[in-house]
Amino acid sequence: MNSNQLSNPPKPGQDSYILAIETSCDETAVSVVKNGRDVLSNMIFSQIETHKAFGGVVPEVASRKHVESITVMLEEAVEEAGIPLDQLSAIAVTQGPGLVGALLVGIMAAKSLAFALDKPLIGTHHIAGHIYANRLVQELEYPCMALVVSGGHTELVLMEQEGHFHLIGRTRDDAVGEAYDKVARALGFPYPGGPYVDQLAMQSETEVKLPRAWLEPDSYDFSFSGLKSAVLNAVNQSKMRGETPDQSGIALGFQASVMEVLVEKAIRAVRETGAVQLLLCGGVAANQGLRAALTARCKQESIALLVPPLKYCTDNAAMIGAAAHLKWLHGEFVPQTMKAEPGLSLEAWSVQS
Amino acid sequence: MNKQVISPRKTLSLDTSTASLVVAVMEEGNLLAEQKITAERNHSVFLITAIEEALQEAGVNKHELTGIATGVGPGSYTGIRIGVTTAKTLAWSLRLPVAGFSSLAALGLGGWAAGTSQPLEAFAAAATGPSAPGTAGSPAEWIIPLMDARRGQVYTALFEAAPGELPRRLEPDGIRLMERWVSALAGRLAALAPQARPSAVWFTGETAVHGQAAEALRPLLGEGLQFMPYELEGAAAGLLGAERLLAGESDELHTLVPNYTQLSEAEANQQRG
Repeated sequence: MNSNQLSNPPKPGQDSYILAIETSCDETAVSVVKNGRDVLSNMIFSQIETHKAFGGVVPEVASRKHVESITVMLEEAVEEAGIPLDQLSAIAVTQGPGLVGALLVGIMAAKSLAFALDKPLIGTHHIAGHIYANRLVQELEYPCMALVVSGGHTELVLMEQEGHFHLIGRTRDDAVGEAYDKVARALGFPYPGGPYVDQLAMQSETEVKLPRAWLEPDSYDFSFSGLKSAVLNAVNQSKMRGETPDQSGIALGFQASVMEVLVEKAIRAVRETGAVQLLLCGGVAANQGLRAALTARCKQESIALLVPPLKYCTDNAAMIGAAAHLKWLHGEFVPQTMKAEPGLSLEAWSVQS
Repeated sequence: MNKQVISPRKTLSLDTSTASLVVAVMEEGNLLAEQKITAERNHSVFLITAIEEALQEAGVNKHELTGIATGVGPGSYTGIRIGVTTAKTLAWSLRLPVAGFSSLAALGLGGWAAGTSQPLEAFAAAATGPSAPGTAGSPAEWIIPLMDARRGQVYTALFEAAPGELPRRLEPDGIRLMERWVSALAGRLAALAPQARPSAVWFTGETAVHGQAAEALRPLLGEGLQFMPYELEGAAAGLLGAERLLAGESDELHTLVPNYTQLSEAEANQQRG
C-alpha cells in the first residue's frame, strides 16, 4: 500500500497544517489547524434545525445532509484558512465513535483528499478531539484530568503524558447530555432540551430534592438513569395529585444532582491522581450551571480549570485537528483501508511511542 | 477559449451502489483498466485502493484525468453516499468536472451486453460520438435492470436499445413493487402494435429474486422474455461516465447528491403526519 508513504514527512520545527473533518453526528465540520493550536478556519454546518422536527438526531437524515454539505465546508475552510491545498501537511478525520453512516461521509472525503493530494491520513478519536479542544486556547500540563460531558459521553480521562489516554470513569447508562434531553422532554421542552433545563434551573427559587448516584465509594463511574426516573416520578406524582409540577424546582433538583456528582468525582479524580489541571470538555461544557459549579469548586480547591470557549465545546473540526496533531508529531498515520469505528476505543487511540 | 484537445481524454468512473464495487479508467470510450470487488460489502475500505490500483494498471497518473464520474444510485444508501462523496471530493481537490450517472443504467447496459454477447468494447464509439443510430432498421430491445429493494420492491427503470447503441431511457429510476411494475410493463407492451413491440425484453441484475414475477410477461413475449443475472462491472460504469464527460456534460459539484429515489423513513413518516 503506497498511500501510507509520505511525500513530506514531519520535521522538527516545521509548521504543520492539518485539514480536519468531523461528521460523527449532526454537524458537518471542516477546519484547518496550524501546529495543533492555531485555528485558521473552523467551518460548521449544523443540521440541528432539521433534526428538531424529529425530536432527535435521525442517522439516515444526518448522513444525507453530510453529503450535501461536505464539499462546501471543505471549500470554505480552505478559502478562509488561505492555505493552498498542496501546503497541507495531513488530512485528519473523525474515525469514531459516532454514527457509522455519518462517519463514513467524512472518512470518504478525507480519504479522497489524502489520495488526491498525496498527504498522510490521520484517523482521529472524537473524544480525544473534545479533550484537545482545550489546547486550542491554552497549553496543557501533565498529568491532567479531563471531564468529558456530551450528548453521547460522560467520562473521566487521565492523561499522564501528552497523547496517552486512560479512562478511569464512564457512564454506565445514559450520558449527561442524553439525561438532560430526556428530562427536558418530561418537562415539555422541545429537542434539544438541555439548554432549557439549564436556564430554568438558574431561575428557580425552589429545589425538588432528587437522589445522587455515587455508585461504589471508590468508583469514578457515573449513572444517570435512576435520576432520570426520579424526575419522571416527580412529574407524574404532581400530575396525579392534580397539581402542576414544580418545573423549575425539578429542573434545579436535577441539575444540582448532576452537578454535585460530576464535580465531586472530578475533584476526587484530580486529587487522587495528582493531576495538575482539570479540563472540562464536550457539548455539555456549554451548560452554565456546570461551568459555574466547577469554576467555584476548583477555585476553592486551587485546581487549575480549563474550559474551552463554546465554539470548541460543541462538535467541531478544529478539535479534531488539535488531536490529530499528536499523531502527526509521532508520524502515526492510517492506511487508505482504514474503517469507520463507531465504537473506537480512546485508550487504544493513545500515541504508540 | 481554444477547446482543441490534443491528447486523448482520460476519465475515472466508479460505482458503489450495489454489492460490487467497481472502478474504471477510460481513455475516450475505451477501457484501460477496471477493478471489481465483491468480497466484502464494505466499499469504504477498498474504494480508494481500488482507484489507485486501476490507475496504476492503466498507467495513468491521477493528474492526467480530465473528469470523474460516479454512479449516483439508486441502491444501498450507504453505498451511494460513499461513491458520491468520493467522486465529489476527488473532483474538488483535483479541480475536475464531476458527472453522475444512473447506477441502474450501468447495470442495464452491462447486463444487456452480457446477455446479447456484445463485448462492452463494442460501445466505445457510441460513448464518444453523437449517439450513432444502431444497425439500421434493427428493432429495439427493452432493458429492465433490477436491484432488490426488499419487501417485494425493486429499484428499476426501463431502457431500449438496438445492438451497438447505448440504452435510451423510457422510464425513470424508481423504487417499485415488482408485481405492479410487471403489470405496468405488460400494459405498455399490450398497447403497442405487434410489429412495434421490442424484439426482446431483458431483465438483468438481481433476477434471481424477482425473475419469477416477470414470468407474467411470458404469454405476451414468449421466447422474447430473457433473463440475465448480472453483477455490475467497471467497464459499464466507465462507458456511462465517459459518455457524459466526453460530451462536455457535468454536474454542479457541490449540489451533486445520491438519487435515493425515496425519502428517508423518518421524513416519510413526518410527511404522513
